[in-house]
Amino acid sequence: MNHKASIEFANIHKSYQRTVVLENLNLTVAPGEHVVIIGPSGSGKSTILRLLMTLEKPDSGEILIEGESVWHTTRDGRNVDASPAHIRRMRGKVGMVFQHFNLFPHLRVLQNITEAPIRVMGMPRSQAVRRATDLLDRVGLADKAEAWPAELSGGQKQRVAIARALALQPRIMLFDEITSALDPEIAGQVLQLVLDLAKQTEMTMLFVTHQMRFARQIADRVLFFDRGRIIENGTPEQVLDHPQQPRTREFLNNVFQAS
Amino acid sequence: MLHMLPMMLRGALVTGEVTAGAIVVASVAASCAVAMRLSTLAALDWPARVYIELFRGTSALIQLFWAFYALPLVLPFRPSPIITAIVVLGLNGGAYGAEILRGALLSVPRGQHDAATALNFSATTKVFRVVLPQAWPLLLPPMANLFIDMLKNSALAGLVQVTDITFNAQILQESTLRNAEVYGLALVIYFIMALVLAGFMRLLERRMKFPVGARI
Amino acid sequence: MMWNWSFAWHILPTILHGMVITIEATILGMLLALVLGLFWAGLLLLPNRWIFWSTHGITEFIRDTPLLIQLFFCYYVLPEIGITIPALLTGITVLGINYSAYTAEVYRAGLQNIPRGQWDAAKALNFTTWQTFTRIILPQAIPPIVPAMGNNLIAMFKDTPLLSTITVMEMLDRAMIIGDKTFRYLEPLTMVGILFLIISLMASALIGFTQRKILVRR
Repeated sequence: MNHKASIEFANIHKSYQRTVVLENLNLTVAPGEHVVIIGPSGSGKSTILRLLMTLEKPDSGEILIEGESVWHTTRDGRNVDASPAHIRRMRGKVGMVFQHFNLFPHLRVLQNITEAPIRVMGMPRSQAVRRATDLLDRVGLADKAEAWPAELSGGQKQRVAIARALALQPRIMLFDEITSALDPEIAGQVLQLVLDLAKQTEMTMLFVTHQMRFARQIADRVLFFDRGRIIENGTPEQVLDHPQQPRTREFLNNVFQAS
Repeated sequence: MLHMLPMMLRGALVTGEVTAGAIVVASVAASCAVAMRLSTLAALDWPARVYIELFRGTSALIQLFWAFYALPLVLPFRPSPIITAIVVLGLNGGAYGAEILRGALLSVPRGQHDAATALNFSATTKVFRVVLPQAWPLLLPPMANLFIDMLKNSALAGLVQVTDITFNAQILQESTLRNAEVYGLALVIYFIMALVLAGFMRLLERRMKFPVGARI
Repeated sequence: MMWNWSFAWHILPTILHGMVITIEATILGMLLALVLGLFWAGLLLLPNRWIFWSTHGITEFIRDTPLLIQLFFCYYVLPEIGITIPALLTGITVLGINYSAYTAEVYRAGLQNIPRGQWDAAKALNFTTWQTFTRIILPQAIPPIVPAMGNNLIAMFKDTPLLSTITVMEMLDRAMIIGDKTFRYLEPLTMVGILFLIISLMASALIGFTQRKILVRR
């Protein structure tokens, strides 16, 4: 296994207009580590994932993936903005599953999965189809290959979205509130799928979730995030059972009362 | 009335040519204008804006007369009437088409862009495989309306010596003085052409359909 | 041939005079379109399908044929059936009828946006159908469609130059007369174009403003 950190955020600042979303964020994630980020909505949790996926650009600071800066390269000893090709290469190491699935409505389920391997990796179609079929089988949707996304239930859509992200064989997977748009029962099934997946692979995984039971099951480490800062960082037992900060206790009380 | 038919149908052919030509010009113009408008460079955005406002803000007939009577005085050559008509009506339609196209492209949800980026699609793949296919179904109905407007606007070409339905109808009216028949026939021919065009567009629309859920 | 400013100044009053007629035709034409369009929309609401289909057919035919030919038809045929009216009046009438087919669609969309419950509530309060329509439904349906009507007004304004083809002395007609007489088309035609541009840009801005106002209020 690589001894370098899988992910590193150094002094990251991010704000939208006047609202500061991330303030001087420092975070290191080891290869193969499963990190769960919890915290109130609007606290900037999702922004961490969106920054890693290069959907957003930080205002300042460095994001390193496997020791390499995403947004900068050195030329003649100076730090310069990275080329689009470099950013695409870095992006290729990361995959993401979204809260609202974001399947492509105009492509059938199988095409949703094969599109990126064919167009991005240049994989031959037959091979891409074979792999997509395997992946669909793995997420329990082998019979839905020819269905349209609109014909699927929410849980099925999210399974397809997971298969779609896996098809590119990323080294880092990001899960952004993947069950927030699902019924509790369906959510449980999708989370079980992710738990199985986590056991089978060595991918680094980052989760933003409100599901505390799932967090406890999957996490090597839990971060509690509030108002743009990490205010608690430790094992699930430390953060969920013995929180040090009053703000964390308050949040956890509210969550457990609600569920 | 039957003896008018051959001449009117010859005119209909020219009307079809002008409309088809103008639609091609409009498609190119609209695509370029939208590409410029969606770019982040002000130097590209502004000329496109000016083009769109200029052609949408003035009337097609004035544009046509201007190109036919005033423009040749500053141009080193005089384009043929039909070329003038096709280019002007095409640019006019393109300005409206640009707004339609832009609206359709911008209505593709942000999540789709996010997903395309997350899957590491190149910009071209994103546009041609994700954004455009989803914009199509939204684009087609207003596009059908635009094309019918352009068919109707092609009648203006008859006022600058293009021998279309309108032009031939005027000649027939002057020579036969059977006003109701001539212009009634012209109306009916335009109506039929519009119905054919609309039918064709509806066919296209049906072929483009994919089932769309509330939230994908 | 270059632009001649003194010539441009010289012909400006004539063209502005034409603008009065252009605006007159637009306003009167729109009034007719607003009234007639509401009439079509009302007919389309009636439960009789014969009325529905014939109204639909008429408006569809009007929308699918060129305004120019409609103008020619009325201009030449009306006198034949004994109706001799000034060309301007013919033009206004044809503009109004033509646009009534479009305003009808706008009204219809506006009326369809009124929830069924409003009709039910009015019925429960024992209003007559006419009272319901004029006092409950229309007052709710009109404000949201003001911008769409405004866009129709601008579109009609830009169609008024067509009246020049039936000898109405609006802006374009005057510009062409000047051009035919002096062989200088550049100045008059450009000036007419710019005047149209200014007015329609101002009108669009006004519509955008109203639209935001209406959106805020709802």
